[in-house]
Amino acid sequence: MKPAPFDYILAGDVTHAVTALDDAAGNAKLIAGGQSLGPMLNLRVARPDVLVDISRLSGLSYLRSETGSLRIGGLTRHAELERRADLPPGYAALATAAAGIGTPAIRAQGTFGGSIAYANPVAEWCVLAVAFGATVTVVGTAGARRLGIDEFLLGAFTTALGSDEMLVEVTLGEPAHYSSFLKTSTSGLATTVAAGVAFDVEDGLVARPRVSVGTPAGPPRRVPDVERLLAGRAAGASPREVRGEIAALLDSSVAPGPRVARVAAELMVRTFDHAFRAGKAFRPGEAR
Amino acid sequence: MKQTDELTSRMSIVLRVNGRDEHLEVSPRETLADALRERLDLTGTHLGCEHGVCGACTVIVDGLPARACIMYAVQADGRDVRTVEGVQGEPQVQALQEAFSRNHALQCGFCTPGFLMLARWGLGEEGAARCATPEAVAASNLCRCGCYQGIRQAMREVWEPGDSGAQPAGER
Repeated sequence: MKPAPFDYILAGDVTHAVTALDDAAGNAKLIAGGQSLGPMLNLRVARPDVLVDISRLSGLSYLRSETGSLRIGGLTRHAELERRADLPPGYAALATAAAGIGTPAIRAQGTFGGSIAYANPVAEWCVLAVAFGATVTVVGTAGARRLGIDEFLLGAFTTALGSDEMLVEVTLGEPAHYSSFLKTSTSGLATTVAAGVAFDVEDGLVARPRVSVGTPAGPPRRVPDVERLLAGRAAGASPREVRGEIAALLDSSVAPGPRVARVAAELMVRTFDHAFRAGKAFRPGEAR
Repeated sequence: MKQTDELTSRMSIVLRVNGRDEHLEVSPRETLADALRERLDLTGTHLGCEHGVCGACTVIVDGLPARACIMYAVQADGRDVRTVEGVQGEPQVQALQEAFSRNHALQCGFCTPGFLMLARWGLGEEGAARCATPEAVAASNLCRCGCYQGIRQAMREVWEPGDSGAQPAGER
């Protein structure tokens, strides 16, 4: 299985990359890690006239912790996020999720930005970007702009990226004392479900819960009804007690059908439990 | 769909393959796997699925594992590429090969180079830092003959010699 012919441009900088995109008028594709695009090219599902290689651009692979946010460069490889010890406190779910992406070879090559731009609705980074209230920075020939993750992820495999635009950074919002991510296996199931959960604990109670769910039905979304249900509960009490209620709250826009709603609810429960068991992430300066 | 004249869309690249600089003229769409196999006669890198799923084409590029079927040769320009041919005789690879043989970790052998390359990486410093385990490596690639148990056991013996918890094949 070999790709259809294409021209190849090795981008020297972001301007070069977006100019090449613009010149190709919608018939170019960016390649970074190539772990999603490579298979698509080989299977001829994608047939761009031009491939613009951004994998050697410098200065786009980083993790920058700022007060209340984490800036992730688009070219950061999944493998760089695998170990909780390498991450700033409050984003433990990234390590949990990274360790489960594909296989070591895929994690060594694939990039954070590539995953967000590909917008697979059950992808680790898409579901967690939603849970952490991320914003996305993109650059095009007209300059840079910033979008909320809900404005960026428009549907399954659909984003607000213009044909001359490139994603350069994803900024996650507020850190959380506890966070995790779980996904059902992609093999054998007709539907894959993914859940991201993040929350703080104050005086032993769940505070500021953030719950996102991804299914093939549409873009990953927060589920405010479930968040309201979890807020104020004793943190040590597993939400398993209210799993039925959670399933009932997952309407057809989130979970296509009652079976998926039950799977999603179970997944949210397990993700919450896993986050809590994994231990608290204290923020710098926070009393232990 | 653009019609490209294949003969004029060649690019000159240099791959450092198994320690040797190789100067190649490749089409942009030529995969690293095909460049290794067709141009350098390094056919140890196998093509199982050609879309990044099976791992039979695993090589090491700049010290990191890569599926050569979904990397284009042009992307490896200037990079260090290690294939199964280039690791013969290394003590850990030798140990892996002997353990594979001892533990029935191969029948047809088609997936074996991919597993060997990934296991070699897993045993190295970078692999250890990423907590690569025999179980994780065995779960990464596909073996259509179903030798996973032997593959895991072979790797356990090399990961932890003398502490392999060896069980007779068939008993779990």
